[in-house]
Amino acid sequence: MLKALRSKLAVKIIAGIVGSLLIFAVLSSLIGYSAFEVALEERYADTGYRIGRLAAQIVDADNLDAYLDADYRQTDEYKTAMQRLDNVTQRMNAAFIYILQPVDDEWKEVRFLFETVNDNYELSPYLPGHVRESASEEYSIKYGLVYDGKSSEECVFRSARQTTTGAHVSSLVPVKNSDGDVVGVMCVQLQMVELGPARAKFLKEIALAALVMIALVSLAYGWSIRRTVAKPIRRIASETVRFSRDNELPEVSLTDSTKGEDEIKLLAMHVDKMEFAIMNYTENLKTVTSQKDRMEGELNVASGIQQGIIPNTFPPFPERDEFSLYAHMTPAKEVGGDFYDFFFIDDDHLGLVIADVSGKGAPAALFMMATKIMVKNRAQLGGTPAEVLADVNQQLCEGNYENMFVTAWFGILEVSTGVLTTANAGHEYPALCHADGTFEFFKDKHGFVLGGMSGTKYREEVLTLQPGDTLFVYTDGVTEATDRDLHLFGTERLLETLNVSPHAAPDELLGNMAASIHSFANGMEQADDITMLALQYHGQVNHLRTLRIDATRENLTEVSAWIEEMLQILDVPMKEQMQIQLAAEEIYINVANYAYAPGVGPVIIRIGYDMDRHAVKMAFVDQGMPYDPLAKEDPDTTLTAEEREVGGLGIFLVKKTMDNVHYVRSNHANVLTFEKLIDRADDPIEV
Amino acid sequence: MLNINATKTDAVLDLVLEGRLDTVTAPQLQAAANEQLAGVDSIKIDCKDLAYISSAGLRVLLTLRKSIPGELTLRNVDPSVMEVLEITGFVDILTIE
Repeated sequence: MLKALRSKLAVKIIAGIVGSLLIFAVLSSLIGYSAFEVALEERYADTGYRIGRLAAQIVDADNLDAYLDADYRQTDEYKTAMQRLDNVTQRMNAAFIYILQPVDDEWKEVRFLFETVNDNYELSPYLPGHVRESASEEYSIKYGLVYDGKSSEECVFRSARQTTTGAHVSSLVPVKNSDGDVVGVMCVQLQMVELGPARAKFLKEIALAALVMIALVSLAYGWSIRRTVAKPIRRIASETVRFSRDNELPEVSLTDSTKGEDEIKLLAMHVDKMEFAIMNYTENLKTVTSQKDRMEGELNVASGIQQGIIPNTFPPFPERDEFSLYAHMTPAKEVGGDFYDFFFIDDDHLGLVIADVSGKGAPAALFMMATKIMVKNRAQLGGTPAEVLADVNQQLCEGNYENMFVTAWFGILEVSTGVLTTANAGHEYPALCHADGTFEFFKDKHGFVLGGMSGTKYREEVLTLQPGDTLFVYTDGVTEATDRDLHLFGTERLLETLNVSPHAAPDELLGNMAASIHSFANGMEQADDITMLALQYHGQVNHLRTLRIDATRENLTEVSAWIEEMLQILDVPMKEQMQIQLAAEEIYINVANYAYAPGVGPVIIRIGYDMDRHAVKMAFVDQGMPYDPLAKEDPDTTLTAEEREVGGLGIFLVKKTMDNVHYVRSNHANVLTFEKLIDRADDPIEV
Repeated sequence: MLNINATKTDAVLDLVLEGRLDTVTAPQLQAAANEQLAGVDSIKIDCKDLAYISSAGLRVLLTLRKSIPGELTLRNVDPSVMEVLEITGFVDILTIE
C-alpha cells in the first residue's frame, strides 16, 4: 500500500516533468526550425540574386525587344548570349533563368523574353514571346515592384506543397538598359534541394538534444525528489507505523532527523507533537482506568462482604415453631446501605432490625456495617429497644464528621408470649395484620434518626402478637420504587399488595410484594435497595415433645411407637397418622443409613402441633455429615418394573405426602423439618 | 410387626401379610419369599391386614416382581397403602385386585 503510494508519487512527478519538457522541446524545435528555414531561404534567394545580376549583364538590355524577332535569334550575337546564359544555368545549378515583361499593368499575364532550362529537367524552354498566367498573386506584385524600380530584388518561395516542381525560390532582379530604365525582370529559379536533408538532420539533432535533456532533467529531478520529498515522507510514514506498533516515543525525534525548513519539516514537527500528545493522553488514560478498575473491584468485594453479613438462610431457626420469618434484600446496582437482621438475644427473645443508611456507595456500606454490628452487640447485652437505639445513636454520633445517618426500626419479640416491644428511629411505619383482619400501618411514635443528633431519646411501643398475626417491615426502596412515568409505588399500593393474600406465609408474602414491585416498575431500573422482612407469629406450639435416640435401623420400632403415641395424643386422624408415620420412617432411616456411616450417632426428633394452622410439625436433627436429601432428583414413576431402580422412593414419598418440607444445615447439624396440615375443624384437647 | 403366611400351589405363591411392612420387617418378607421362590411363576399377596407400607416394603415388592416371570398381584389393599402405591407408580407395575 505504502510502496504503491510512493512509486505513484514519483511516477506522477516525473511524468509531469517529462510531459512539460516534451512540450518545451517541441515548441523550441518549431521556433528553431522556422529560423533555420528562413536563413536557408535567404541564402538561396541571395544566390539567386547574384545569378540574376550576372545573367542581366549577359543579355543586351538596350536591345531586349529584339529577342522577340526570330531573325535576330539566328544571329551569332544572340546565340553567344544564350550560350553564356545556358552555361550560367548549368554551372550555377539554377533550374530556370528567364526574363519577363508585363502583358498588362497588373502582371496578370507575363511574356517570356527567353528562358534557359537546366539539363536535369527534360523540359524545353519557353520560346521568346510566350505568354502565360502569372503563377500567383505574390509573383504579380513582386514582378511589379521590381519592374517599377521600387525594389532592387525580390524573392518568392514555393514550398513543395504549392508547386509541382518541388520546393524552390525565385529570385527577381531588374534588367536595366544603358539609360538605367528597367526593361524586364530577370528571374532565377533555384530548387531548394538542400531543404529536405537539412530539415531531417535538424530535427534529428533537436530530438536527440531534447531527449538527452529530458533524461538528464528527469534523473536530476527524480534524485532530488527522492532526497527531499519521498525519503522524508517515507521516514515520517514508517515512524507513524512504528509508533502505532510500539506505543513509545522514538529515540531520535522526526524534527531532529528531518533537514530543511520546508513543509515536510513542518509535517515532521507536527507528527512529533502529536506522538507526544498521544503518549501523555495514554498515560493519563492508563492511570484513570487502573484507578477505576481497582475501585470497582473493591466495591464488588465490599458489596460481597455486606451481603455476606446479612443472615440469608431460611428458615433461620428451623427448630423454633413459634414463628416463621422471612426476609429479603434486592440490592440496587450500587453498594447500598439497607440491611435487615434478626437474632436471638436469649432463648425467648428475638431481635428484629430493619434499617436504611443515608446515601449510597462505599460510605453507606461502611456505615451500614457499623450500625448492624452495634445494634446486635448492644441488644445482646440486654435492655429495651429504646435503650439499645439510644446507645447505638450515641456511638454513631461520635466522630460522625460526614453527617451520615440511619433510619432504623428495632423490635424485640418475646417468643413465648408474643409481646413485641419496638422503637423507631425515623424509619417507615411497620405494617401489621391480625389473624382475623387485614394489613394496616402501625403508626408508632418516631424518634430522630440514628447518628443524627447526640443524646436522642427513643420511645417504645408494646403490642402483643396473637397467633396468626403477621408483621411486615420494609425500607423506602419499596415505597419509592418508580415506574417509567416516575410514579411512586407508595404506601397505599404496599397495603393493597399485602392484602391480596394477608394470611400467606412470610416467604409467600415477600414474593408477592417483589412481584408487585417488579410489575409496577415495568422495566424501570431499580434505584434503591429493596429490603423487606416479615414475621408470622404462631404462638406456643402445643404438645412439644422431643425424642433423642441413636439412629439405628433397629430403633425404628421404638421411634414408630413413640410417634404413634404422640399422634394419638394429638388425636390426628388415622389416614394422616399413617402418612406421618411413613414420612418419619423414611427420614429416620435415611439418617440411620447415611448420617454417621459407618458409625452410629444420635438423632433428635421433635414433634409439635400448630393450633393456629392445624399442622403437625416434625423436625429431625442430626450431627452427621452435611447432606441435603431433598436435593436428590425425584425418581421417574412411569417406568416399567424392569426399568425401575430399587430405592430412591422414600424422600419422594415424604415430599409428596407432607407440607413445607425443608432442609437446612445449621450449627453443624442437618435439620430436616416438615409439617402436615390436618384438615379438620376442631383442635385436639390440650394435654 | 409382620406376620407372614405363605402357601405354594403349583407355580403360584400365595402370601398373606398382617401388620406393618417397614424397614424392620421388609427383610422378613424377602427371606420368607426367597425360601419358596423356586419354580414360582406368579405371586399373590393378600393385604387385608396390611396397614402400613414404607419404601423398604416397596423395594421388596419390586425385587419379587423382577424375580418371577409372571405377575405379582396384591389383593384387598388398604386405602393408605393404596395411596403409597399410587404416588410411587407401583400401581402400574403390579396387579391390584
